[in-house]
Amino acid sequence: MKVKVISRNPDEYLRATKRDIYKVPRNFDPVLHPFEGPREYTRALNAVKLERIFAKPFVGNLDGHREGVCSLAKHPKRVSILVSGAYDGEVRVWDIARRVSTASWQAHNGWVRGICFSPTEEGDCFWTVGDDATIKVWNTSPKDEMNNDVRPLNTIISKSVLTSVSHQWGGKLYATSGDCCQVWDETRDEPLQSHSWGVDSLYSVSFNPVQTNVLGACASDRSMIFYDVRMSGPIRKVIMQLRSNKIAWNPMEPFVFTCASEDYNLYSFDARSLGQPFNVHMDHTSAVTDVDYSPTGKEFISGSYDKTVRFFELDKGHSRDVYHTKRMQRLTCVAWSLDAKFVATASDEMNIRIWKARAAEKLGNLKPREKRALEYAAALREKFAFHPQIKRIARHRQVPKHIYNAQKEMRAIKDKMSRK
Amino acid sequence: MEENFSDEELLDTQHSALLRNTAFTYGKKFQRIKPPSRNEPSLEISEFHLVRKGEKKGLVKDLTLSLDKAGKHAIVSQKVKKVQKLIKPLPAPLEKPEAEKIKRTVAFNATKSLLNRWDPIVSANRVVDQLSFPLNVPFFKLRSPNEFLSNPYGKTPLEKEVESILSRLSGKKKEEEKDYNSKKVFFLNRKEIMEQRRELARLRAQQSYKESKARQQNKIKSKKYHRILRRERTKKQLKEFEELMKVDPEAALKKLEELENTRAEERLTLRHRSTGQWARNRAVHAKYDKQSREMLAQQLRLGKELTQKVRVSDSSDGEEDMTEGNELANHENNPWLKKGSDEYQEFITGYRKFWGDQLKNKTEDDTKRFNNENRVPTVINSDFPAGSASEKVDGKESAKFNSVSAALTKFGFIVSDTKEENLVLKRDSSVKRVNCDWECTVLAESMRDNEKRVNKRGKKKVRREVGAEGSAEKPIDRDLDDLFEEMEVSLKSKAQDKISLLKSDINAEPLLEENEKSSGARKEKKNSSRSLQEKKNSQSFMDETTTSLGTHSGNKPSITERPSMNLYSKSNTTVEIDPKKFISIDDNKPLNSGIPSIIETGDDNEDESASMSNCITIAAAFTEDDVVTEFKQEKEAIVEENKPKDIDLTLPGWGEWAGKGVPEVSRRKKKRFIFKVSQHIPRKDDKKESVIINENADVKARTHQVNELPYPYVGVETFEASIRAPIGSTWIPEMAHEKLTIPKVTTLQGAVIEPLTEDALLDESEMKNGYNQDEEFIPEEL
Repeated sequence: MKVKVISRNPDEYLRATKRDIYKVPRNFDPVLHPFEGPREYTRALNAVKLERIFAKPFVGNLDGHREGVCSLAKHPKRVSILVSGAYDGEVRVWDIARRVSTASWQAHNGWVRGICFSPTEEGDCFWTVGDDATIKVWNTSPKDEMNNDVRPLNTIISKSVLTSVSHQWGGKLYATSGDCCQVWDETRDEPLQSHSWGVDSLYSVSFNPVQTNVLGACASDRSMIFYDVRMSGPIRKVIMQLRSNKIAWNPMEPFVFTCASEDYNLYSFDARSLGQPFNVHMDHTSAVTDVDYSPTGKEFISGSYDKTVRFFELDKGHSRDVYHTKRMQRLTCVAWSLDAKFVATASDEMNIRIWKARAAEKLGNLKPREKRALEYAAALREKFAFHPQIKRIARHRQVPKHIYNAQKEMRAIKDKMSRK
Repeated sequence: MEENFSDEELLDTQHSALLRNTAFTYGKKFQRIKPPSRNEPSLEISEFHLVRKGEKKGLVKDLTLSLDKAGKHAIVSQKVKKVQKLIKPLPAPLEKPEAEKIKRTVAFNATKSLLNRWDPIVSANRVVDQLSFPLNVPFFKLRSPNEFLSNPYGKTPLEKEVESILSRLSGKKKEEEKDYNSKKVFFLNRKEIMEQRRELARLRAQQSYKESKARQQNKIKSKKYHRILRRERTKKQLKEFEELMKVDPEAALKKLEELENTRAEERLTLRHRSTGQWARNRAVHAKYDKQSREMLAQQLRLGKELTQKVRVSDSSDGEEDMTEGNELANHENNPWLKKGSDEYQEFITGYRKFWGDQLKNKTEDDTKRFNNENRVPTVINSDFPAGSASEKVDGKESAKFNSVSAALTKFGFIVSDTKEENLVLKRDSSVKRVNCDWECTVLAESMRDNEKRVNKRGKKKVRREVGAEGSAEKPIDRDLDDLFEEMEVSLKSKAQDKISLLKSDINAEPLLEENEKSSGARKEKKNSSRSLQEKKNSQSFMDETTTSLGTHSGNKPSITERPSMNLYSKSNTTVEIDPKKFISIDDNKPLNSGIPSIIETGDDNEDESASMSNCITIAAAFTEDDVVTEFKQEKEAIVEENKPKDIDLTLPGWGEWAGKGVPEVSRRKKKRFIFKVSQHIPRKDDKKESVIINENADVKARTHQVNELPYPYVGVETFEASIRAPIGSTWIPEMAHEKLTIPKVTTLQGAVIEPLTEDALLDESEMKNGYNQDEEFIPEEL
């Protein structure tokens, strides 16, 4: 007797290897897909919701300082190394990957006002300036394991107060601010140049990392002063309505810089036309203390006195994200890691926090399919970004009550101003 | 009062004038503060010694005043005056803030221009679809062997063990490692690398250029170039010869012979012998193509002319001059022969002539004898019928003879009769062969002419050559020693004279050439005209040939006529068809297109009428459809559609008898199961005639819809289109999906992204341009 059975060739429905993709026959005729729009919208909605679900930006906490941290510096060649200085003059070298401090020592008497690495060579040494009006050069990996008597490679006693230090990229120069802006050579103990332009003191100074002869400084008379190291002198001054705390140069757009202002805003300028900023970034509810650019030059991070860290895109007026924790106090400095994936923030309450630059980003290696799915989700979010629901979900953040209230207040003030 | 006032005024003016006058006249004398005078230098500066503002002239001028008007001092004072006129005082320095301001402005502008350099890169990075960081990855990196070999995960226990053993065995390895470590890896920046590469490329280009130049020079066919080369060579040889003559006259004579030999060999070269690729190709075609035949014949003729031994104009015989007239004229036209052989021939003939003169008296008898002997071959020579082909063969033959016998190397005619006969036979055969190959291309007339000419030439040649030989060579063999003893001095002097003459000629020639260059354009024109004429001649010649052939054979004219007829007909057809077709299509045939006919027939005058008709059509279009009524109808339809319908719950057959003749739906059932809805439910737009309000619109969806046109979009359409286009792989192909979902910025975890560097400013194309502008490799002209 012949029994008829359904038999199929397994070649037609089994994969040859595990990595084979099933060939799904598709007809792309849009007539056959009347619901493609709504389906994609739904996917976008899900994507944006998932993004918010997965938004867990806090990576870790670097604990060890016994005073508030007032300065941070990132290693120019190695992503995992971070150096911090505290109010008590202690300097710590951190290994971020292991979240441990590899070395710490008393560097200055009083605040460590500024730390900077030399971007040349391998970044073996860094400079610190402190309230004791000294410039000290340190080795990143001091040989002594006990950290008892770490000695600086060099100590320069300055004649005046020092408030910050910044090193030139690919050069031997570094600049300090204080009573005046001084430009030093690595190999000399006397400043090469010393510029003052009718100001009491300068709060911070920063070299342009690309156009390395340009230098920006924030002065106490609400002004920002720009120097040209080659022309040996100040070249322009911009006076703001309120004092600016920090200048950060865009590492990918040499003529763009952003200053963190006391008036809760950040201002992005084109250094070639300083008449007015080309973008004003608002959202902070208190004075902005520090700003640092992403190495991609597309966005920057700002730390504020309102105990939040905000991420701004260069071409947007409002922040794309805000990070805060209950215990994080007023921010003193922020640093965006050189692989653009992490940020480090230092605050008054002795802790350095490491965050993800993208809150919902999945760390580690991704499978190709996963990667593609994430890319698709991101594309969908971008495509439907203007739809009200998606916009609402994407922008929704839980903020501390004081910020919420301050924001409300500011909105009210703004409305009132616009009404007038 | 007025008067008083005026008086007072007058007084004032007078007073001031008086003051001025006094100041003018006595100003210098009554100056209270004396001008500064020279003192011992001191640090104290008294205010009384300062010069008043008005009196800058001061010391020097006063000093010059004291000088005399004449004598030495006058010159000095004049000089001082001159200098003072020239010298202008420097402007006063700006005030410090002002100066600083200017300095700052200048510095700012400089910085601005520096920053402006980055503009293109920045804007490109802003616009680009995807940026993947780190951007400036060095495009090569040197790694030390140790680095290359080192294992990032550390050493395995086995390796460690082996290492420890090795280290125990020898302490050398450590030293090596130290060496490697101490050596710093040398990096070039991008610009340096580019420059290096450019330099290498340049060297390579130069090398290849030199190579190609050498190759080309080997292949050069330019007559001019070769002429120049030859001239140089002859110059050199002449110089050598001159020196040799001074030192060793006998050797000089030998040298002379050698030179002559080389010349003869040159004449025997295979140029224009129709042995080249081109000639062979022509020969293949010659059977069928008359033109190629002609070309070959011409080529042969040219070769013949070239290989002709050049007549010497200053030979002793007057007859020869007369008979050679034609040929010489030919040679004059022929630049090859004329210039290539001139110096040589002149010199050689001069030398020979000199010898001849010296020896004439002594060797008359001998020469006579030689002449008698040589008449036999000349007769034979003149006998055989030879066209251009025969001439060529002659050359070949003589070449053969060169190898056979030394006696023939020079003139090839002193041979025995039997040999000559053989030769004749050979020649005949060869001629035949050639003839059969080319099918007798040359015209009968020209052939005859050639024959005549050749015959004459042969005679002359032989006569002259024999004469020359008889006068020069044979005696030399016999009593050379005596001759040299006697004639050394005269020889030297005369030869030197000749050489100097030649030299002057040679020197003069470049000048002439320059002149030629300066009038190059003219010459070119002439050449072109000449060539044109030649062409015409050849054309006519060809015509002649055709006609002559026509007379010979009956078939050929018809063949030759046919193509011409065809051509004519062709041209006729083209002329007939093209314009008429155009016209007919444009005028009459209506195009099968969507464009309305009104537009098609638009002329300048008809424009208005056309537009009018357009207007009418539009108006007509609107008259027919009443927008208002249409809208009303639409609204009614929508209202009707949206009216609540009665709910029919009747089930056929339910509660009734089945089978045939069953009523459809009973009234009772209808009454019970059809629920009637009240006919008039108020609508929102009941009282708004011009509005249709959709009451069924989804309220839930409203929250998801975009209210405002978002910023970068210009129109609603574009935004809608952007939303409507799917990006998922469900609806579009995989590749398109990947392209559409590409992230704008990608980074590598753990890879340090360094800021832009100056390398980014280095544009490769710019580099290329720079290369062209700055150090372009200009090859020398060939």
